Amino acid sequence: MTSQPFQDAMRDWLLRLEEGARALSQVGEPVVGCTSKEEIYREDKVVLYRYLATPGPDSRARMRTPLVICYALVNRPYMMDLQPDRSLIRGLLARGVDVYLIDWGYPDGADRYLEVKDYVLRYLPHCADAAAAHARSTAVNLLGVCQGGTLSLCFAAAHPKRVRNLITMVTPVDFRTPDNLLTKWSDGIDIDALVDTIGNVPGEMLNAVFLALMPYRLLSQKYIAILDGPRDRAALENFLRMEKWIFDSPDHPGEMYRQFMRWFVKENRLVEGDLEIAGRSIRLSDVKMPVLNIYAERDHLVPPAASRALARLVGTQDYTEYGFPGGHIGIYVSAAAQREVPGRIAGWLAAREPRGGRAAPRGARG
Amino acid sequence: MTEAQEKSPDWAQAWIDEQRERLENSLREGSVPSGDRDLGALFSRLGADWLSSYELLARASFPKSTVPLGWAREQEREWRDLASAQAEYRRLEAQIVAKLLAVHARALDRLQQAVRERTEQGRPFEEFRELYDLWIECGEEIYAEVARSEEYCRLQAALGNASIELRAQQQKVLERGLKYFDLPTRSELNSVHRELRALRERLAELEVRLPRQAPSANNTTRATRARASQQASKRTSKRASK
Repeated sequence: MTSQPFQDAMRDWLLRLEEGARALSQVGEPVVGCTSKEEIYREDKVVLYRYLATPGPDSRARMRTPLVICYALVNRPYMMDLQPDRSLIRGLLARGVDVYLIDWGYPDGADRYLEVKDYVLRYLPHCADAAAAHARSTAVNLLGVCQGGTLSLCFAAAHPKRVRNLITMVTPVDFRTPDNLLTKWSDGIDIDALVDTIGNVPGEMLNAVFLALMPYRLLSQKYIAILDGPRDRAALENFLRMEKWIFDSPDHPGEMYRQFMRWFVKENRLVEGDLEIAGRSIRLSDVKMPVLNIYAERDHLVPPAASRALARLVGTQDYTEYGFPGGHIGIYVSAAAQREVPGRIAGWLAAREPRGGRAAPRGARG
Repeated sequence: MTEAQEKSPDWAQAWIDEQRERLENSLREGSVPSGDRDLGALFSRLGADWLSSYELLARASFPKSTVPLGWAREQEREWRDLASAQAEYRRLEAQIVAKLLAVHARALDRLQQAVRERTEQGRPFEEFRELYDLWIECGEEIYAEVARSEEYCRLQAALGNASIELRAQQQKVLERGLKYFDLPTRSELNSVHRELRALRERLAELEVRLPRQAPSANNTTRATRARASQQASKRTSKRASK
């Protein structure tokens, strides 16, 4: 039985939530991605874009070495350029960085036999070459994000001369740290049976696993907070953009998933030093170019220890680490991230740009 | 003391009581209320209901010890495997649902304790949202504890593997049906994709070998790729993002 005061309180609250739902439904479908870009290279479903700089206070001189962003396969890369005031790419462009981004597209049934080697030894090198040729540079700077960081490390180890500087962002390296719940959960799963049965691993399935990490917060509180929160349109639009990004999840090519889970997650080969891709030995000790490793201090998907393991494994003498005080998503889109992260990256790159490496402004080159 | 402060312990207790009542109902019904089901469970449940009749069939009509015989023995075996996969999946699902209900019950105990402490400290709830947020905190705290336990990890993996097995058996039955109607199957498509991939790899190998035999061909290949890239670039130059 419930008391009258309880019913009153509940009724008031439900009315507030109802108002919130009405306000949210008036916002409409969110628009994502804000900076102009041009297509530079295309292979299968993979597209390399170059972002076009808009004039900014620090964009007078452009860094000659292009920065190629290699995103994860799990979500869409427009998170890097979500909206004008939440765009790592825009922040980098404003600081004179020449930004390229690899879009892996939406793999379908025809891509189920794509392997790690296709990404590390084919798509990534081809995109890096295309960016370098387009920017008239002999090498690229590479920014790998999350799983894209893991792939970037492999590429950098296999082709050290093609990567001038390497930045890894919320990148898992050691998958067997004790606080890694995703790894713990996956240990008992028969990955071979999974891939043999379903082929490409659906984005929805991966999302269900991510949601299960914090089900009360992610399946309930998040929505209550927005319905019970401020009614301003910008806040509601921001929420819907994030919501779209989270659930706009491409399927993961089956063989790629099988190898990634077995080699990197279950067998931790990057750390053990026994990773081989297409007969080529991949050793992190071969990563000798400067490395900036950015991790999120409150990351519930990639625990800081999983990223920070890189420090003891890379062969470079020029290793910098930066712990961002936020989570796995906040590192791209929070207000603090906009203030801190692009400046850190641009400053670190500028300090390592070869002499005479700054070019005249090029702006929106055709 | 405001009116809200005076009545806030009532809110909290009444809400907790209501949650307990719902939980008890769930336990009696042997299922989780639809609003509380997690998406993973919903995802796994898709397509499962239509198989329940075969599960019953497997339990009642075809004891495992009976060997399928006759001209339809292969089909019968597939249906039996499917039914047994369905039964195993259901068994494990019930176990995990019980675990999650136990998390829910423990979270309510924790919430009750937290409410009592707040009231004793003279910090009653001003509004319902505070109680809700505290409930979420309690839920996550208990869930994190359980989700990291070896027992839960084993059970969750077993359920995952059972759902894979169920899916595999569903596919077998469906593929037989598709073949019967001369429709393409996933296995056939896989063969095509596998062959296509092998051909592509072979082509790439040949492209690498070609330059050794005819250096100019190498240049052509590279030049072609560069030209293609430039053309793509021109075609899409200044294309605005979506």
